[in-house]
Amino acid sequence: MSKSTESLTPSVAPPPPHALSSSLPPSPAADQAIAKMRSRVRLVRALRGGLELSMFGAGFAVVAMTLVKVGRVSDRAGRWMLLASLLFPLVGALVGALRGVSRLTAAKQLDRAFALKDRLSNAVEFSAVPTGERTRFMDAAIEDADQKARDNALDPKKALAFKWPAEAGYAGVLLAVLGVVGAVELRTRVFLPAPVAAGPRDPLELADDDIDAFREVARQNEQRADTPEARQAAERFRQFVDQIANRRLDREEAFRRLQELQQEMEAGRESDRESLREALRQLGRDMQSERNDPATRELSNALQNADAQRAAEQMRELARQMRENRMSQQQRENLQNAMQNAQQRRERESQQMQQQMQQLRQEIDRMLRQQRERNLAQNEQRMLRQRQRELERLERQQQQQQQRRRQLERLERAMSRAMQNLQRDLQQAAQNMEEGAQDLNRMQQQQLTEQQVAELRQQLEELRQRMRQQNGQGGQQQRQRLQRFAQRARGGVQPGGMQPGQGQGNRPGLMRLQRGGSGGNQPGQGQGQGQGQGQGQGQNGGQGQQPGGQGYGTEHDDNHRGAATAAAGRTQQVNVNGQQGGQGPTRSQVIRTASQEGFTTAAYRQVHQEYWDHAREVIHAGDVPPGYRSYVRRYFQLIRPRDEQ
Amino acid sequence: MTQSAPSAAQANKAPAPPPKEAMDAFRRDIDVVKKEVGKVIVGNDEIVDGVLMAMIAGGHVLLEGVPGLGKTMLVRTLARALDLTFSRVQFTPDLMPADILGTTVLVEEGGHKRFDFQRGPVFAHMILADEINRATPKTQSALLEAMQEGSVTVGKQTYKLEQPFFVLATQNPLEMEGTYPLPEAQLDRFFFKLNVDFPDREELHSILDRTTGTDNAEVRPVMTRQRILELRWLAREVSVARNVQDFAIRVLQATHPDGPGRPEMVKQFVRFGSSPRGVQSILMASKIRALMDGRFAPSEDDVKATAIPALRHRVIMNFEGEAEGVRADAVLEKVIETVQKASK
Repeated sequence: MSKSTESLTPSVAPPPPHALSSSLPPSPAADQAIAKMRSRVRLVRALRGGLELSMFGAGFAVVAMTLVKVGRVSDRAGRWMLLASLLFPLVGALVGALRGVSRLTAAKQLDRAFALKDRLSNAVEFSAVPTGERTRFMDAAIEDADQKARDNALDPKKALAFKWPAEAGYAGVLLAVLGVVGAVELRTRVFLPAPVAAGPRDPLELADDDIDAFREVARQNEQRADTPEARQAAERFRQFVDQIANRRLDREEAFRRLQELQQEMEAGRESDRESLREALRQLGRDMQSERNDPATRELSNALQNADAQRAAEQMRELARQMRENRMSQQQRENLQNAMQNAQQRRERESQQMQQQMQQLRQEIDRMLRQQRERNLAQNEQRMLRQRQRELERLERQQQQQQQRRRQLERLERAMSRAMQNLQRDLQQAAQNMEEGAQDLNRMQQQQLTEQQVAELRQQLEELRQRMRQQNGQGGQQQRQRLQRFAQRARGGVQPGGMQPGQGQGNRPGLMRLQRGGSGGNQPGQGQGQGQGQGQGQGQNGGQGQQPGGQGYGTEHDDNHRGAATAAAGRTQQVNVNGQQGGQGPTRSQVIRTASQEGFTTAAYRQVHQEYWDHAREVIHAGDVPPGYRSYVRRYFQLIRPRDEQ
Repeated sequence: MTQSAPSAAQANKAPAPPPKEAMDAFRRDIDVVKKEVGKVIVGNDEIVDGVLMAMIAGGHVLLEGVPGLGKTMLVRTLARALDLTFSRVQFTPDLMPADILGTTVLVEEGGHKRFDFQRGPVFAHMILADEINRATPKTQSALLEAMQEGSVTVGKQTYKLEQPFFVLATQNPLEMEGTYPLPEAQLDRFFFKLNVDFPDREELHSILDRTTGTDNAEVRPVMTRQRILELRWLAREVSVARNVQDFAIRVLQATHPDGPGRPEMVKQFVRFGSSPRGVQSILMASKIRALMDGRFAPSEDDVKATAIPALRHRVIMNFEGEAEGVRADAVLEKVIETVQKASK
C-alpha cells in the first residue's frame, strides 16, 4: 500500500445504525418553495381548466345565441342559456383549483425545473419519516435540499410557466363567432295575433261535416230559389254558414244572427200564407151557389180547399170550354153570376166592415170627449177599452182583408174582366180566365217557395241544434261523441266499432244492370256492397228481389230501422263478401225476369232520398223520440250523397 | 438476499464522520482512482464508473465487447490502482474447475507425506475471467459459489475468500461458435453487464499516442482494500426515498411480460423479466452514483441511468425477440420511458 493511498483513505469507521438518526430542524426554505409551488400548480390548473372548458361554454353560448336569433328559443330562455355558458369556465377553474396538489408533486416539479436531481422530493419523503427513525443521510438530504432551495431562487413561475392551451384559441374564435351572431339581426316573420275585431275570441265551431252539409243545403236552396225572396233567404243562410265556417262568429253573435234570420223568415210569412189560403177559401165560398154547374162547382171547391193548383186547372178547363165554345149560355150565366156574387159579397163585407169601424170610431171619440169633460164611470171606461180593442181587431181584419185583396187582386181583376166579357166576347173571357189561371199558378209557385223557405227554416233549426250541442264545458265531449257518431255513420273505423264494408264493386254504392249483360256486372255476379253502405246494406241486400242474392237489393225491407242498436256499443265486425255459390237463378232466368219486370238502375242518391223521405215521415209520425230525431236527421245528413259520388 | 455485505466486525472502529465529510471523501477517493486508471485507459468513462460502482457495491461485472478494446487492460489497471491482488484466467473449452479453484496435491515433507491444497487463481481480490463463455458450463459454474458466497469448497473443506472479491468476466459477442453461453442463473450473479464500445477517433488518437511511443505510464495504487470496504459500508448507509424505490420497483415489474405497467414491446419480445437481484443492483448502483455526484440520496435519474446495465443481462428475450434482433437495451429504454410517463 503506497503512502498516497493511505493519505487518501482515512480510516472512517461506519457508525452504528442507531446512531445515525438525529434531529434536524425543518427546512423552511424548501417548505416555503414547495408551498408556493403548490399554489402555483393550483393556479395554473384553474386557469387551464377554465380556459379549456371556456371553449365548450363559448360553443354553448353560440348555439344559444343562434337559437334565439332564429326564434327557436325565447329571449328569456336564451338569457338563461347564456348565463349557463358562463358556468363552464367557472366549473373548470373550480375543479382545477380544488384538485389536490401533493407536496411531493410540487417538489418534483421544482426538481425538474431547477435540475435539483430529486433533492426536494427526497427531502419531502424523508421529512415524512419520524425524526427518531431517520438516518443521518436522510437528515443530510433534507438539509441539502434546504440549502439548494436557499441557493437557487426557486421561483414557481419559472418552474411552471403558464401556457395558453389550444382550447383557449378555439374559445376565442367561438367568442368572435358569438359576437358576430349577436350582431346579426335575422329577419323573421312575426305572426302577430289577429286584431280583436277580426274575429271572436271564442268562435263558434262546428264539425266539418256539418259545415259541408249546411253549405250544400245552402247551395241547393240557391239553385232552387226562383223568387227573389227565396234567393235572398238562401243567400243570407249561405252567408251565415260561411261566417260560421270561417269562425268569425262567437256563440252569442251566432245565436243572435240565427234568431234574426228565423225572425225575418217567420215575419208575416205564416200570416201571409194563411191569409192567402183564407182569401182563396173566401173566394170559393163566394162563388158557391146552388145553381152552379159541375165545372164552376169544381172551381169553387178547389178554391175553398185553397188548392190553387186544382183551381188553376179548373179555370183553364173553363177557359178551354169558352174558347171551344162548349159552354152553354146557362153555364155562362151561372159562372157570371157566381163571379158576380163573389164580387158583390166582397164589396158588401168590405162596406160592412167600414161601417162598423166608422161607428166604433165615432163611439170612441164620443167617449173620449166625455172622458175629457168628466170622469167616466168604471163601466164606461171598461166599455171604452172594449170599443178600442174591437176597433183594433177590425182594423187588423181590414188590414188582412186588404192584404188578401192585394194577393187576389190580379185574380179578381182577371175574373172580373172575364165576367164582363163572358156574354159579349167569349174568347176574351177565355183569355181572362187564362190570366186568372196563371195568377193561381203564381200563387201556387209562391206556395212552393214557401216550402223551400220552410225547409230553410228547418235547416236553421237544425243549425241551432248543432250550435246548442257545441255548448259549454260539455260541448267538447258532445263534439267528440258527434265525431264518433259521424265516423260510424260514414262507416269509419272506431276502436271496437264497425269498419267499412269491403265491397269489391266497381263504384261504391252503385250497381248498374245492363241489358244484354255481356259487359259490366251481371245480376247475381256483383261483388257485394261498396264502402259506405256498411253492414246493414249488405244484410238487407239478401232480401232484395234481384236474382242472385249476392249483390245488394234494390228494395228495402219493411223494417227500415232494423233491430235496435245494442246500447253497450259492442259491435262485431262482419264482412260480407259475395260468393259464387251456384245457388242463384240461371242466366236465362235472370234475363227473362229482367225482361218481364224491367231493368232497374238505382243510384245511391235515389236510395238515400227514398230512405230519407221515409225517415222524415217516421219522424213526423212521432215514432222517433224527440231527443233522437236530430240524430236521425244528422245520420242521413252525414251519409248524404256527395257530388263526387 | 444475495448481495454480500461488509461484516459487522469491520464496523464500529471509529466515530463516523458527518455525512457531508464522508461523502466528500468518497468522491475524492473515487476521483483519484478514476484519474489513475485514466492514465492507461483512454475513454470508457462509463465503463470505469460502472466497474467502480459494481466493485463498491460488492458485485461482479460482465464486460462484453470485441477483442482489442482494452477490457483486460482496464481490469489489470484497476487492480493495480486499487492495490488488490489480481488473477487472470483465460477460459478455454478444456479449462477445468480445478484450474480455477485449485487442487489438492501430495506433499512430502520430512519423510511424511501429506495432501496440501494448492489455491487456484480464484483466491485473489480481483479476478479477470477472460472470455468466460468459452469454458464449459461445468467450469463456469465453478465460479458460482465463489461469486455468490465468497467462498470455495474443495472436497470437504471450505475456504473463505478474502474481501473484496471482485470478478470481471469478459465475453466476445462475435465468435459464438464453440462457445457456451452463460446460463441465466449465472448471468444473474453479475451486478452489471457493461458493453465496451469501440473508441471514437479522438480516443483512438490517444490510444495510439500512448501505446506506440516511449512513454510508459505507471499506475500507482491509490486505494487500500480497507478503504474499499469502508466505501462499501458508506454506500449502504445512503437512504433511498420511497418514491425513488417505488420507481425502481415499477421498472423491474415492467420488464416482465405479465407485469403491471409493461409496455407492449415487453409483452411481445420478452420471455422472462429480471429477478429481484436486478432491482437490488439498481438501488445499490443508484446510491453509489448519488454519492459520486455529491448527493445524499439517489434520484429517479440515478435509477434510470443504472437500470440498463443492471437489467440488460437479466431480461431474457423470447424467440420472436431473438428473431427480430431486438436488443435488451431497446426494451429497457422503452420500459423506463413507459414507467416514467406513468409516474407523472
